Amino acid sequence: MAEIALSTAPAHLRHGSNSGQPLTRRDGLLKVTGAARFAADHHPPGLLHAVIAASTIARGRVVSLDLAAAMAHPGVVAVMTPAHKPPLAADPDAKTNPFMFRLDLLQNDRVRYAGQPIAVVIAETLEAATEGAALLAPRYQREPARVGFEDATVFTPPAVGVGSPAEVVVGDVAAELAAARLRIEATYETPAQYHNPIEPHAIVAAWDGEKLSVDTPSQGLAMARARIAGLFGIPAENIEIRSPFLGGGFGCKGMLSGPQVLGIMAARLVGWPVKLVLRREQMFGPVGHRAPSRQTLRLGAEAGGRLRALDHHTLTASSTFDDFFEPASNASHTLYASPALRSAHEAVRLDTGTPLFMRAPGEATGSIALESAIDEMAAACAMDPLAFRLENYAEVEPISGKPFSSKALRECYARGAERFGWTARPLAPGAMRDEAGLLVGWGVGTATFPALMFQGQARAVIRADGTGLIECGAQDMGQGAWTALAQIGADGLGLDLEQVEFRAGSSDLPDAGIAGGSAHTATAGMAIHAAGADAIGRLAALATGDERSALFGAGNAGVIARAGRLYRRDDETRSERYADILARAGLFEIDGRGSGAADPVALARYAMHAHGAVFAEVKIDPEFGQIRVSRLVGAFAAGRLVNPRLVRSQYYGGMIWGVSFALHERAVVDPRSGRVMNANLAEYRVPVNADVPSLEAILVEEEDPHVNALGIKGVGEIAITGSAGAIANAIWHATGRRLRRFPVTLEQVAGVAG
Amino acid sequence: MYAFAYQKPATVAEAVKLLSADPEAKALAGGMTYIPVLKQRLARPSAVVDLSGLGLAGIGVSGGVVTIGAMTTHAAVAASAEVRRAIPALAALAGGIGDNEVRHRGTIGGSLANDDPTADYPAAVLALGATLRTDRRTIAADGYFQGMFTTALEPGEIITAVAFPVPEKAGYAKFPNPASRYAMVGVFVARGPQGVRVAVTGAGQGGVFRHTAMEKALEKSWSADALAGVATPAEGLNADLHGSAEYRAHLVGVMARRALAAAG
Amino acid sequence: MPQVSLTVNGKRHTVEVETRTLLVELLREKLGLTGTHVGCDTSQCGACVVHVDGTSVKSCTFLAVQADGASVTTIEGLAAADGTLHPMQAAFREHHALQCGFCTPGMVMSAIDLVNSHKERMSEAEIRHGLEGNLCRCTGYHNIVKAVAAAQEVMHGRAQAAE
Repeated sequence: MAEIALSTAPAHLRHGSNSGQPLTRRDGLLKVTGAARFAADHHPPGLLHAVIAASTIARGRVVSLDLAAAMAHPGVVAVMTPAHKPPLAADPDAKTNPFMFRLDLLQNDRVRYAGQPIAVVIAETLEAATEGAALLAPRYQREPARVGFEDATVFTPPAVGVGSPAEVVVGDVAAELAAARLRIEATYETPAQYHNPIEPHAIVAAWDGEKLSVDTPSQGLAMARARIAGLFGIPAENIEIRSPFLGGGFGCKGMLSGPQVLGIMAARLVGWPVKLVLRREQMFGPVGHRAPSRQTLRLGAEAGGRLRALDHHTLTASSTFDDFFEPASNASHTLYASPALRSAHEAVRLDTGTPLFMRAPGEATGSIALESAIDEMAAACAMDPLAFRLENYAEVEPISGKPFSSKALRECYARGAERFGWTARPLAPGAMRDEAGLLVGWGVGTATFPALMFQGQARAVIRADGTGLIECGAQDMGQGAWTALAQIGADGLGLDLEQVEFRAGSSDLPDAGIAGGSAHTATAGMAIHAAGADAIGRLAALATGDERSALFGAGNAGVIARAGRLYRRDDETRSERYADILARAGLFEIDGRGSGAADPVALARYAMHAHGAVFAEVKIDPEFGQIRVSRLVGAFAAGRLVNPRLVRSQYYGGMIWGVSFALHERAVVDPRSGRVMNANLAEYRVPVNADVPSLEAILVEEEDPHVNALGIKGVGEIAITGSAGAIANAIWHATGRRLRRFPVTLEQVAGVAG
Repeated sequence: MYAFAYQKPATVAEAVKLLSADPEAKALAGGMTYIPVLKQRLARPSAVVDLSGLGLAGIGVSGGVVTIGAMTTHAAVAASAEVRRAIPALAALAGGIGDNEVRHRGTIGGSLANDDPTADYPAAVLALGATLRTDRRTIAADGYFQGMFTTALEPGEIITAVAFPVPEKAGYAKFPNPASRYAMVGVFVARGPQGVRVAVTGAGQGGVFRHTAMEKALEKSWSADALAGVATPAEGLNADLHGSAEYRAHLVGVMARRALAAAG
Repeated sequence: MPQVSLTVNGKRHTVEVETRTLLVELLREKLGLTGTHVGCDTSQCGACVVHVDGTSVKSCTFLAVQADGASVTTIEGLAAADGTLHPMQAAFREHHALQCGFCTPGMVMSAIDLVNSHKERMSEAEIRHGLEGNLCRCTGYHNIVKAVAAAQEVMHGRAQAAE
């Protein structure tokens, strides 16, 4: 039996390793030439255009639609309404598992939130469909909208996040708070936020009898396919979904959305292929968002700064018709050693769309409050905030007592602080100004994100010509999965990257799990690695069992795969090309399969997280209250990095999301109508180029033998955590004013001591 | 969008005829404001009359007057060596309107005909005491602006050029809306043939206005100190999700000082 | 229905359009040039930027009929016939100035125009300011600025292209 020491031996990964190389992404050429086809770029013959008409009230009923006006508009072919739509095999409001979100598919005339689809107009041109949708001029029976925390009844949800308990307690918080020498209590507010990827949701759907072909952006192809199968009562094999390119996801393309299904329904209704693309204003309602939060933190510490109690309470919101409760308080579970720890959640139901995972769901929201509160406690103890964090460094995970699988946070603090120049920071706030008279402040935040894995499958093939193929339904929304996974695949097959074809982004390929939770590279990567090992194992068996092979009898010593050859581990002068092994066996290819998932033993034994430290400098113009982040330095440790260039970009992107969280983005809801008032990119502020400070990311190397065989943690979301808090803390340091409502606006800061 | 007819006349007379004959027809200059308006279905013209074929773009300086053709783009004004030499504050103002792509298409005539209360040009026109030339008459700045989106233009009347007397000193400073870059508050101060004039855009509920208190103060003493004593009442100022009326009043004072500093 | 004659990427087209058809839809739906993208409704995002008669414009804020007689360049028209990338395209790729790629065509077209209108070397701040009409939700802009800074050297003959 050939021993293939591939799965765990780092040696295999080191030989001419593709992993760890900062390679230029493979899809770059397609994207800079405009050749990358996004969903809305498809135009099959006979295509019709569909445009959604969306509710302008938040709660009530649609009483009438002017169908005649819409139908009379030249080019309009059909109007899909609750009364006129193809039948569905399942109730859109049925919920057989927590990840099946209720969808608005014109099932009745009820309106549950502003922006809810209430009809779909299908026409020969986009212009006609758009105009037709406007001509419907809906009339409503309106009920008062519940938009804020004060408008609704507070309750305790049965679970938060992906099934965590709403309350978790360690130790006796009340007693420790009472006994603490110093105590702080602070309430922080974060706004509703919308993902706003630059690519709006879009779908091109074509039916062929009971077979369906779909182009749509999706972070989770297999789940989307299963949802469609259930809704339309057709076998999943009948459905092909192609999502080779997504124009950003950030979580809003993780679950199949109502508008995407409406596109499929529209195609069914008219019997022609249909393209449905959301308008930007329609991205504020039916495709998920981050709910607002009100978080109260109570901390107690000894005089020397050692924490005795950390109590984190979050009030969040879900929709009136479905459950998604962002677990913000859970951000306090893992970072700071406190003998008494409590995370608690309460919620209200508002007349909004159902919230959905939005980049670092829970972690980002909780982090800005936690890092602010930690800083407030440090100030109460008259300690430098970095020293305070080090004083309370957790050697084991506070909520569970488990050891960390790896934790290079001290190095992150040290290297980030050094690069930033932290030691020059005056303890007192309001003590720094620059040459132009602007107030200057320096703040720090700790970043952390769990090292998650989902379940994924892959197939690896070695072909007669000695090249390889990896098949994996992985989704690349810009994070660079295709490049990183191709690198892993090439290593797994012992080939150079240019020798490996990588097929992904389509539902007919093995299910790689969802691209979310920063888990994709680890999950799909492990599946690909295992598939490669399996293929190499089968190839090796052909050789080692064949007298004519240079590898004959290598069984116990094993073989190593490298550069398209198998080598005897005990005598590398004996080797053979893949092509020759296959040719002699009379095979045109050999394949292997593999799967990736978290190791349950490791999960039970270790706390597995990526960590980081972010240092921020802000400058404030006291006349305007204008805040600019001038410098951000983030040092992160996230296990093995397959492609440092891609990783660095994720850190940059994440840090800017942190800037946006602290200073820019928020959805403003009109309390009378329940509508989002700034449902466009003019008024919903995402950072522009000029908002971006000098950014530096330090990639701290870290080896983790437990998290998975490749040592990969995730990097897509961690950089928001820590960044937003560091900025909030820097604002305090610049002004001496602790601002607890985010985003921090001009008016909150204007008129500060100048 | 509602459907509409499209016409592209070759002469000003033809354009005026088309617009006058049909009260539902609308002039289209750069389209940077009007096309978004059409997309939002906020307007329903029977026809759109494209002014880009009328040869109204161009810049000339003579006899102490800078004349800018109505269809001159913001980018052209910003880049013009002549404008930079004669009225640098005007070139700088043009260079700060919107973004590059907006500046490539947006025109001074379009901006002034529309009279958006947060547009930049109205402040320059009012503070510099410019004269608007149309197909049928000339209109002095003081009589031109009549409120938000309201001007002295008659139906069918087209601006053909704007004539700016070259000032002794001029400066503009604006505080941009963080998202759209329109002026939350923009202040243009000038000292020229018509004396000291200070015009404020972005802040007032009635559109651009002259800040007479500041003008009096600066007439006495062209200095930041003179401005320091002048308050701007919050009453009559805009309030929205980007800032309250009080905040805008505060900004008027700050931007006026910065405009003065820019004027030298 | 009006007819529009225009040159796109060097090729002449005569197309029937409605007056309300936007240039971006003419390019995408009628001419199949889908590299130019639509990202918003309010002319903010810049994903739709193309060159009309040599200058960058937002094709979502441009009626197709206004392009009659014009010469339009889209992202598809930048590379040479043999596939050699325009220096800006090469720089974006080299410096990883993209992630999801949706804003990329518009960003590249805006950046080319920006560099074309500045013969002298632009500072980082000038580049950032010059690209304020293009939104990116993925990259944080950092690498985009680096790419433009590198490309301007090549485009103005101060440096050789990467390959």
